[in-house]
Amino acid sequence: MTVQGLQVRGLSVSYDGTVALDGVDLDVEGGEIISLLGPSGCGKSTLLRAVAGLLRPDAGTVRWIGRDVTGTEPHARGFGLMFQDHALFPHRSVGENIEFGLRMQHQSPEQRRRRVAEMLDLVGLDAMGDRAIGTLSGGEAQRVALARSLAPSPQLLMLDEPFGSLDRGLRERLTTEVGELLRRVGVTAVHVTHDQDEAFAIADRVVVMRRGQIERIDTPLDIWRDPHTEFVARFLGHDNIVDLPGRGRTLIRSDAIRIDESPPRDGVDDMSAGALAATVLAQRFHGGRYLTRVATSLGELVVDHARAIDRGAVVSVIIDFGLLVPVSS
Amino acid sequence: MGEGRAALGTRGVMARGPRSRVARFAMVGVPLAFFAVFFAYPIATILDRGLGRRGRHNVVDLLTDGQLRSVLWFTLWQALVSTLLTLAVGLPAARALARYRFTGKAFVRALVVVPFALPTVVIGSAINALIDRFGLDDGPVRLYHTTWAILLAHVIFNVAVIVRVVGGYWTLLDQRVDESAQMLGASNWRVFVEIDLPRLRPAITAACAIVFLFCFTSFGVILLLGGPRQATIESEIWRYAVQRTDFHTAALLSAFQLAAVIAMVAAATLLERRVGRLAGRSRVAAPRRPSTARERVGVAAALAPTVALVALPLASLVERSLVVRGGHGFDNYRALGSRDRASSSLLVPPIEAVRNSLVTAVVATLIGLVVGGLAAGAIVYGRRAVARALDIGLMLPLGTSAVTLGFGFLIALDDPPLDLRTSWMLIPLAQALVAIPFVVRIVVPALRAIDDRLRDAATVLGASPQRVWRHVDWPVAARAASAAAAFAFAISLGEFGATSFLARPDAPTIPIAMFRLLSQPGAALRGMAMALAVILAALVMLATLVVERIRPRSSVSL
Amino acid sequence: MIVRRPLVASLVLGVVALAATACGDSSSSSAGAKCFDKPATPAIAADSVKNATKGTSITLVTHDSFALSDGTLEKFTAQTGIEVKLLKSDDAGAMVSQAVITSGKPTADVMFGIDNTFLCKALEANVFQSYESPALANVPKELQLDPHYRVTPMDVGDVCVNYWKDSFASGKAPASFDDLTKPEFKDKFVTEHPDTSSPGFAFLLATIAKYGDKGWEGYWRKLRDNDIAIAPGWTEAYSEQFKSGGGDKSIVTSYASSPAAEVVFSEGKLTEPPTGVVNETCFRQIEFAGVLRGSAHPEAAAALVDFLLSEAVQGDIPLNMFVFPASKSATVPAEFSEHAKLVDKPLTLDPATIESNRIDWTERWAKVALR
Repeated sequence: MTVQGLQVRGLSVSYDGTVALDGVDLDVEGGEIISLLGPSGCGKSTLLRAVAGLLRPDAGTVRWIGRDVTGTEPHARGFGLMFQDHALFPHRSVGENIEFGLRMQHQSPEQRRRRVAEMLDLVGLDAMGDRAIGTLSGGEAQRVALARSLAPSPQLLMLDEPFGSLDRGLRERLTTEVGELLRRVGVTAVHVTHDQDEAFAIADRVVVMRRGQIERIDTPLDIWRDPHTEFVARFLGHDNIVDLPGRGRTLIRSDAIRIDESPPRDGVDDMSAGALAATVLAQRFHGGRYLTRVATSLGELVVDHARAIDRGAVVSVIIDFGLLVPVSS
Repeated sequence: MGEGRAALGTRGVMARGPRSRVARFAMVGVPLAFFAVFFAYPIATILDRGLGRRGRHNVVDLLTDGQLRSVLWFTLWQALVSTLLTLAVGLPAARALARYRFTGKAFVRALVVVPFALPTVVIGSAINALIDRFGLDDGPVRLYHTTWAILLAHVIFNVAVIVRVVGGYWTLLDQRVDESAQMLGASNWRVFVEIDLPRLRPAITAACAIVFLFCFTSFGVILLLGGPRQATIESEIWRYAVQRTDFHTAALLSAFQLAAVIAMVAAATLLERRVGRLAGRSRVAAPRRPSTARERVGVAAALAPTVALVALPLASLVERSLVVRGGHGFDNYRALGSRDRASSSLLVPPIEAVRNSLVTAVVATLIGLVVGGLAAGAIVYGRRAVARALDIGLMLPLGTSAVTLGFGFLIALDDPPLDLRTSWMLIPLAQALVAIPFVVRIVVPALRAIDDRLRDAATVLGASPQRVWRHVDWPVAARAASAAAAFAFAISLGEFGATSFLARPDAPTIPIAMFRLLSQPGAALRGMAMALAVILAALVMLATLVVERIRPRSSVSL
Repeated sequence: MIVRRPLVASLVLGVVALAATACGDSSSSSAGAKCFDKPATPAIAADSVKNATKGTSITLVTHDSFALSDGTLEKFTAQTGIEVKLLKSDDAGAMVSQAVITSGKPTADVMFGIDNTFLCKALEANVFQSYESPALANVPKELQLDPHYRVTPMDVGDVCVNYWKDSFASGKAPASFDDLTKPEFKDKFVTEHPDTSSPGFAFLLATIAKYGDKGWEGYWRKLRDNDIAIAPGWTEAYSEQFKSGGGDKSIVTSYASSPAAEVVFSEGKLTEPPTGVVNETCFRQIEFAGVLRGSAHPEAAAALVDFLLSEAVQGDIPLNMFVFPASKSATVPAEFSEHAKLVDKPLTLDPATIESNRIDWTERWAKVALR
């Protein structure tokens, strides 16, 4: 069955002996936004560039709606790509940057003018068409880059760590905005990041990559709830991975664990009730709550708690066994 | 929005660069003093002396005499067309060398510099020999002693400037801007024209300015390849000053040439400045191997014209150096070490010329690097007015008649403590005058291209301005300087114009030795001259390759 | 406006200043003096030469065709204790121009190789200091062009049109000026540019001497129509374009002694020269030497001039520079005199006339000969 979108099969790329991509398969449905997530060196940017056509794979195919584009030049694929550092044309104005792709499509000046205005409006930069690139702030440049890549209505838009150079508040705001914008426009998007918050915020499905291979593909919720492997779990920010007797290596999600400030009866663990004796080691204020690190018989655990607790206090940690998931290494 | 600016071009000129007073003074003072003593003073003296005499023509003649007017026009026209042709041939090659990696790349890069360094006498006669060999001197295509031959020779000589100066700067460009354009639907050609060329403007302007000046003041090429029917301002200055001893007319022409050159250089430096800094944190991609057959063909096609134009005359040289009585052999090379009767035109064994050339070239390169490096610093970090004056002033020797300069030295530097007329030092000094503009033109754009954010980053990490300069600017400058050093060395090895006046007979440089050998009859002497030429070519290539090696290994290659 | 653009302002001022001086007709100190007028500087006394200090070092400047056997100049040092440094300029014109511009502050002490066509230029610029060498007794009077002994004759030669014998059937070789314009010699003749070549200029003077100031341009028009080739210098003409160097031209402007040079350089292979001389076209060239005015060691320089007229040098000149010695008493080697002959009635022009018309002639020549 032809995938109505991107279909990557067996893609392999090596640089000077190191394997960057190892026989990767990936399907992206039309209109879907996926995030390639992973540590640096995992191959996510390589995969992106291979799909864009900026590098030639050693093996494998890239298909778009059934058509094999593996041999097509990047400028003929009809894909868009947005870089982390925007890579705006320094010698052109904002408007000229945005209309570049439209000129390549040989649109008439009237069509281009209209579309540029549309794009400026879309990204919230009305009437900035004549500004010089050098005068833009980081956030403005980001929006121009987005407008520029969306203007020619690409079938597939790729975003290579687009928010990396922005400060956190702006990044979060833009991530949401861009996600909404992409959905509104209905474009298929492949987004690359090493930041799992970003991936989760924007993607329909998340692809976790490691050492040139895909480790896990699923919706953000499903991945978060059931990472499957320890690597993915840790990468997603899960802290509490322990060996449980009878269960093996297990992930205790943050929604499966809580602190009860009253210490356990007799000060010992009560496994049947899922309660552990815990000593508070440290707390970190985070988003109005306290990430609390405790020492237990299972090792150190991190639990989210509403209130501040003194260091050294003895408390109970309550685990919901029904929410535990196994993880493999 | 209120966030910090993306630093795409800040102005903080005064805050950059070395802080110490001594350093800042030296940056302006040393080049200024050098320029004043070894250029401005001799030129002013000779012009004053010449204009003060009686002569055949006056200023009015310059503008009204049909002959002189056509000389002025031809000089301008051939320089312009030569520059454009050189650009057309050299740009694709520059791109191929900047973007791709392939076997023999270092060899090609070194090869293109060779004709640039060889004296016109030698390459000119090699080109004429080729014209003869390929039968291009009669029939449907006539090249011998025509304007086309001049243009062709100019391209061969000067393509190195485009390839190395523009090519080097090209490697500093952020590749992702190109990739963005590609993703937006621009074909390779579009990317080149709309995205690369505008960003390359500083380097292209710098390189074209140099090429234009060389072609404008070209002398040997005009004489040898254009034949007696072609005349430029430079060749006329030569005629009037040296052959007709009419210093007045020669000085007039020189003054005109100088004024024209000043105007051109001023215009060029204006153009060079206007493009803003390269945007963003440049991701400089290492050159990669061409991955498709199409790319391979493209790279080969881009390099082919340049390589062919450069290699053919050199091959002709090598071949002629091996021609001995009764076939081919190495006799010409062996004869270089002896001092027999036939070489009485030289007072020393020709092989000593090699040693002399090397020594003067090293000294000239050092002087050029020091003075040029300081000047580049003054131009990038200093105040605008000073920078502009230095920028223009230091380019002038490139556009000044070598004859004028030589005579200027003769009459200006004739009193102690500056009685350098018969001193050996005069030659490297004269050669340095030509090398300095190269150093400046190569180092300045590279320094200007440094993203301020790198400096800011260093400052934030606790580096004092001194250290910022040392750790951010200096490595870039040093890399650029090493590229400039290769050029300076090559130029000095092959320099002939001013040194022919000034060289001491017991210490000839290679070009002078060649010239002396060629002006005596005898096939044996000619063969020896060719052998010297091949040695010179090999030295130039070696120097270029060595400079490539000692350059600190990094992804940026110039 | 002016204050804002200091650079532009100074440029404008500079150009204006230059124009002002250029338009003026001011003459420098030494221009305007007539060629053979009595010089202001006193002559070097002949007896003071004997007292020239041992151990001094003087410089002899020559053109690039200067050549003497090894050890010749060392003989001078052995005799007098004065060391000689040899400074070779480019061609004679360059040598003279440098001397003219540095007149009074020369870079050398003695100049060898200024010829009769440049003589008045140098004399009018007051380049030399008078010295009457005792050895002049051996030099024919007609060679002593300067009555004030500022220059001393050194050698004599003729610039003549040469032809390659094998290219012509016997009796068909060119024998006169007019022959060179005939169709059977079309595209066979190469001559040198008068500006950059002394034989080239001599040939031009020969045509002027022959056809007069009104007629020579017409002659050159005919030469041009007969496809005469112009080479920048003698080397290109003789050693590349002429048959002798492997080229295809069978007629060339060279020296009366070139046939002898061909034999000598053949190293025994040839006994008869492969080239012949067109006697009618020969123009007399006399080369001189002189003490440069302003030299720090005029007596030592004068001693060198004496030496240059001695047998040691004069006898050495023929086989090294392929011209005849000025001194009558010098021995001319047999292999030279056998094949090189001075013409009895060569063409000549008065040096003062040459000097006052030089630029005018060369400019007119360029208009005619270079289409």
